[in-house]
Amino acid sequence: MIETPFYFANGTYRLFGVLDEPDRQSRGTGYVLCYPFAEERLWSQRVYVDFARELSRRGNPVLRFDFMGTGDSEGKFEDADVETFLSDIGCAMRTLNTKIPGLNDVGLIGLRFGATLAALAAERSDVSRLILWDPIIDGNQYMQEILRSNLVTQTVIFKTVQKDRKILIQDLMEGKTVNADGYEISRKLYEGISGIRLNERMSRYENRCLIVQIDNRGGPIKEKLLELKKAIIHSSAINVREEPFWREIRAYYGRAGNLSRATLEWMDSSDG
Amino acid sequence: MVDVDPVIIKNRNGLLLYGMLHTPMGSQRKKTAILLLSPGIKSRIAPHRLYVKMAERYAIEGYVVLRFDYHGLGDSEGDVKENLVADFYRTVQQGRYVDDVLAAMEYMEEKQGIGRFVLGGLCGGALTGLFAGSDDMRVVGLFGLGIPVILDGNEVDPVKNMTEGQAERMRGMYYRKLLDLQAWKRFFSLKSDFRVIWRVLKPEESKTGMKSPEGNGSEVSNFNPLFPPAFRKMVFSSRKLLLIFSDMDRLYWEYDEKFWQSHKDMYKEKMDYIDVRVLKNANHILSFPESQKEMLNWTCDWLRGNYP
Repeated sequence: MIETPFYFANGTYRLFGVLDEPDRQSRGTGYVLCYPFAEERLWSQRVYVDFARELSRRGNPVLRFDFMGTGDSEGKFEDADVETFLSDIGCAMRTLNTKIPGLNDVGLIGLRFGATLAALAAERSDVSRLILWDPIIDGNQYMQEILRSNLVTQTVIFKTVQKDRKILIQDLMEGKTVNADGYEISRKLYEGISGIRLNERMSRYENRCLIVQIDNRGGPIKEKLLELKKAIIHSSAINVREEPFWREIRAYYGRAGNLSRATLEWMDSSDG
Repeated sequence: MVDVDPVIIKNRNGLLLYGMLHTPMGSQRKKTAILLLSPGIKSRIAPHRLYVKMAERYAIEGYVVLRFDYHGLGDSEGDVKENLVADFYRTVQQGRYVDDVLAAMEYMEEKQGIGRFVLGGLCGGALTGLFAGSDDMRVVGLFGLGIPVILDGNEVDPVKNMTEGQAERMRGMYYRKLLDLQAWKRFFSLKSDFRVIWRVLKPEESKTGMKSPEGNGSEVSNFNPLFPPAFRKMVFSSRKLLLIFSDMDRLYWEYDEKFWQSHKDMYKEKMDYIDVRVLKNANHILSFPESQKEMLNWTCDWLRGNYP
């Protein structure tokens, strides 16, 4: 396996990515890994790195990259929105195709909001396989969770909530940014994410898709994920037992063995 | 203008460490480089890209800045075998990544021709810098954000080791809860943590036995015995320390109560080398932009003044 960190341009800014190339003949499908949102990216990074290396050893080239304004990529987070994120995914796919000549097709893999973006990007681009690890289905609900982190931080710092949820949203509407775990969220990003309901319309994506619910109890698949399964024609939904490794938990998560195994099995079966 | 490029460093065990080098362009480049050392698990990027923002600012000031992932973390090669984060943190607090810092300095000497370093970092990154710098005179100074003086670990009891500062803060929180019906419901349904309540309301109970029987200033329980000698070596070899804490971070109270109060007498003649500042209205990771801005101003002033 050859691993190469590099920058690639998307218009006026550079994105940072790491390309994992197999030693041997490529299997023909390359994958672009889409990181989840904000701090979830940092907590889950090692799972991504581990999975990218495993895929590459299996023979698939992999590009994992940072969206504009996140990780090592250029730009400011407050300038990012759903459109820049989707544009970045398209650019990463083109870059993978350029870097690996002869690639048959490209698949997308994402976790949480990274999965949501992958699902949206798959409707616009030629994506052969779509793998959604615990996707965020309801953008509005997700943004409310993000705003909650601001309230928690206020409580820690000021011992009280100085700006409640209503005022935070009012700030956003007036063009101010709202801080969530250190990230400055703009109105455009807030509205863009809040407007997403992956389960409420038929997806234009028509190739194969794996939807994975990740939970640590092995419960039944949630209704919203089943609705998403219905919305994507050729999709299957499975449940995988893992801890929520995208946030701060007691366990150290260097790899998500069950998730990797289930995903690779699905890839093998869909490779035919 | 600043160039930012990915770099790969080989550590002493042959593992590849991935990093980012921020290089000021033109004649403004200074002779001292800054190494930003990763905080715990959160890689060379740090919470909310704090290290990206710091590196950009310091490079504009003329410093070459390297931030990189330790082995087993971020993009770098290697593994972390610990199953629990607290146990992993403990190994960092015992110097797990010092060799990686030395490898990074060797890389900078060889590839960039720079042999003088200021080490900087948040939390575990600051402590790793202190350990690495204490025995290596290439390190001319250290700035640390929320440097820890304690040892974490799955076996460590946070209630038993709570500082008086923490207890005082929690006391205020409990007083506010006196009129909170939900809090009383939790109390009577035995859902409250009674050990915490007891510790907070009876502070003198756990203040006994804070000092070790040897009287060497180190404390029983979770105090890190490696901290005082490393601190002493840095300061008594006339290298400067800038330590920045957040006022709402338990690490400040731990530094003050568990280390500084019992050691300050020996540093009376060396106070020119120790600069401790406290950010107001800030948490451990400096979430809010106001605290980030103030920290950046303080560190830049300190760097300009000491390493022009």
